[in-house]
Amino acid sequence: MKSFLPRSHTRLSACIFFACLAIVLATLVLNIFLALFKNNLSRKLNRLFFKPLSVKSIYYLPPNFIILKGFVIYKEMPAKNTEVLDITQGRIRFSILKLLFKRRFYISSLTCVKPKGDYDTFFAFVRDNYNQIYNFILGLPRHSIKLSIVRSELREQKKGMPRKNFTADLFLNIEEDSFYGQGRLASVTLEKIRTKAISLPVKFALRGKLSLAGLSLEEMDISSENLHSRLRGSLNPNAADCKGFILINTTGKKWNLRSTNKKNNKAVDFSAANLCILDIDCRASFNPDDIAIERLSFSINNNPVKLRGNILFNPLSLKFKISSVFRNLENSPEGFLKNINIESEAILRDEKLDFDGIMDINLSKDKKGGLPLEKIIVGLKGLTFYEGNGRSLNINTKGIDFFCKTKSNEYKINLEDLKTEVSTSEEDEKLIKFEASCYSGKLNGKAYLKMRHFTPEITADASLSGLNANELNGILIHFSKVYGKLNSQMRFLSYPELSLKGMMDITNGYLDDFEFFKWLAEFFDLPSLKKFPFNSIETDFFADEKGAGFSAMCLDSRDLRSSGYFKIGENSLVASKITLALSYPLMSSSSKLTRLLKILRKKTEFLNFDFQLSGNLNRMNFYWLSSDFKNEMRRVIPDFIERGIEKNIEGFIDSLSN
Amino acid sequence: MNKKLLVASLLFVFFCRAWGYASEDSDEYLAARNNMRSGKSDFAFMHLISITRSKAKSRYQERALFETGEYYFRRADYYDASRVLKKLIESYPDSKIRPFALFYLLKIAQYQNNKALTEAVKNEIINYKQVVLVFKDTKEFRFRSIFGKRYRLIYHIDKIELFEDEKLFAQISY
Repeated sequence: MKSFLPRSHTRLSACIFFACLAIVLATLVLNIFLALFKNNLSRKLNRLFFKPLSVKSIYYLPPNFIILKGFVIYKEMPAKNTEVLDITQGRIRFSILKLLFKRRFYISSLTCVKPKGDYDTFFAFVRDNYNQIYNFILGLPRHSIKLSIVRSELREQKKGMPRKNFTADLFLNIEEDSFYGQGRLASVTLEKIRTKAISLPVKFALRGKLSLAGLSLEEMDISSENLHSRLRGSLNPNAADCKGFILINTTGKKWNLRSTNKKNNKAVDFSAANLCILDIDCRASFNPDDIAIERLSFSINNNPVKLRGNILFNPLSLKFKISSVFRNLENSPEGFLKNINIESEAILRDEKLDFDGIMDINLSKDKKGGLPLEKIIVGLKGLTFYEGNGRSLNINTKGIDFFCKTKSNEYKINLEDLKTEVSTSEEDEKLIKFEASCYSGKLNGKAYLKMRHFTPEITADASLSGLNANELNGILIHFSKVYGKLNSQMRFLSYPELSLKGMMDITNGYLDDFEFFKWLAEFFDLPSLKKFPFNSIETDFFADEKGAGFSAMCLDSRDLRSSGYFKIGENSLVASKITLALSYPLMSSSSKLTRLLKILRKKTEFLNFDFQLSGNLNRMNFYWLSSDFKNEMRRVIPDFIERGIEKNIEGFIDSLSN
Repeated sequence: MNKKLLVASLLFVFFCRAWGYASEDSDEYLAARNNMRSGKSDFAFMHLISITRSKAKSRYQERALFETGEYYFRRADYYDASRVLKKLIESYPDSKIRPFALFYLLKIAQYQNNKALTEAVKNEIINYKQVVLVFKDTKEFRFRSIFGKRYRLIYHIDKIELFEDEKLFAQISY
């Protein structure tokens, strides 16, 4: 039968048919070849890389693709649980022309699809083989190649915690000595089946140069919904350095777009950033056992910070020293902080962070108002952080030494075995429960913490029990003369202003050479007052920005009772009224008071002395308040004796003030 | 021997000089008092000014500084009043007239609406004297100026009052 098509068409169809057939046959042949020589190819690949590799299957796809399926990198000899990365599919594109004419297998692009692995294993692999990875990258042939890593996934599974997946995409172009690329990172937390919490992706773009000296990063931009950063630096087997800035937006507002001079071009307006980390300058050197951070300096909201330290590997630990002329994060020129210095050592062991350190805070003396603090030093021993059951973070410390200095006094207190549980729920207000040993007693309580911009708002209730009162002499020197069991309940507030209020009682104790009673003992010839027992001492106390003091004071003993208040306000001005009641038997034991008792027309069980104190703490005024006894004394005692008694009391008040 | 003679001569000249100035002050003060008795307060003031400019310190200068300050204050010349009263406080820190001068400075600070200075002067007055009231309810100090003003400074346990001719001039509570 004759064909009705023109002859040229028939020839063309035949050519196309034979060409397709040739391609199919070639593909089949090549794939058979690849299947047969898969092991050889696998061995050649292993020679190119510094760690064992395996490939499940290799295919050829026309015109110029090689597909690797089940490509696995191992950290040791191929075996189960030694996989570092399992790449579902690798796609290699090569140049046919260069293969045919120059007989060179020239890879023009390499795509890894869905590489998967364990997060901890992968990072341990990178840490332990850093040098080999670095040399491998530098040893790559210097011609144009596109590298893509698509839908990569690293899984993290910790005990009792929901699984976390870190995903990343990377697109990198390498052209001779330079490279540029971009990518994104994100994390997905799988709380329950089918529910996910996805963190917002971080995008990055970078460009740089490769040379024998090392890798030079000319620019790397990292950005997310609330972060923007630009860094540059260099990396070689021995050291890395980096400079740049980071802008962080914690206000919740989105970055705005603003128009630029270029037509139809908009740039991101970063003025919404409220945390600006600028002038970052970092240099680190790599040693076999550690990474030495030779310098890291930056300013955070105009507060300069410097850090030096070491990161050691076995066990993973961190030693560092930080110093900062830190004022405040609100970018205000005034602040109550002058500088902060921290020296510490941190060790990561069994996923627990163990921390020893000292934080030294110097406060501005020029700041008007507020507590007259000049310095605070906090020393921590064995501070550990670990995630507790449920939504909580446990912060424990074997010891905490707290010291603070005001213009006129120093205060210190030590706590041991402090255990703190901080709730990590999504709510703004966090609950913190704490307990500790405070000398011979116990401290426990709870606090609520809320952040108001960068200022913590704390409300805390605590109770102290079973403590020996004289152990608190670091807080108030007079406690060194008070013995007995002390119990206290107190409330601390940091907002709207700092305040501490509470009540305290000391039971079944004694006062030993307490200044005021020592003077009374000498002046009135009452030696039993130098060391006298009491049933209880109770008082309310307070300390805030306006002053401090005791109110509703009450001392109860067999022969002496006392009550009243003692407050110190602004400019160290004292306001106090105290009643002192001496028992008749006590007074009868004094040679001086016996004569005075004869003045009394009627016998009373207790004789009251009421007096008032005022004026500057260092030069207190004294006033013996009116009473029948005082009126009787004035009636009987001659003027010159009155003056003598006044002088004596004046001398004592002066010594008490000093 | 010559050295001892030289030292003795120098001491002699020094004391004569001081005695000379003091004796001049005494004469000036007497003249000021006489002028006041005659009702010539302005002439009295001129003699007092002369004493305040004297180089030697004397008890007359101490009084003259206060009284010229008082005179300036009466004429609402607070700048000059402040100047001479501050000189009194700085030159004679142990003077018994000091609290009276401080009260005048307090008044000037209040008239000028200078809150910081008012607080500073208040603290000075409060811290100046420690008062111990055992058998008395108050402590009192008196002063009479050349211009005839009678001052009474009364310390209570929680306040200090200054009376001028039995009228309350100023009060500080604490």
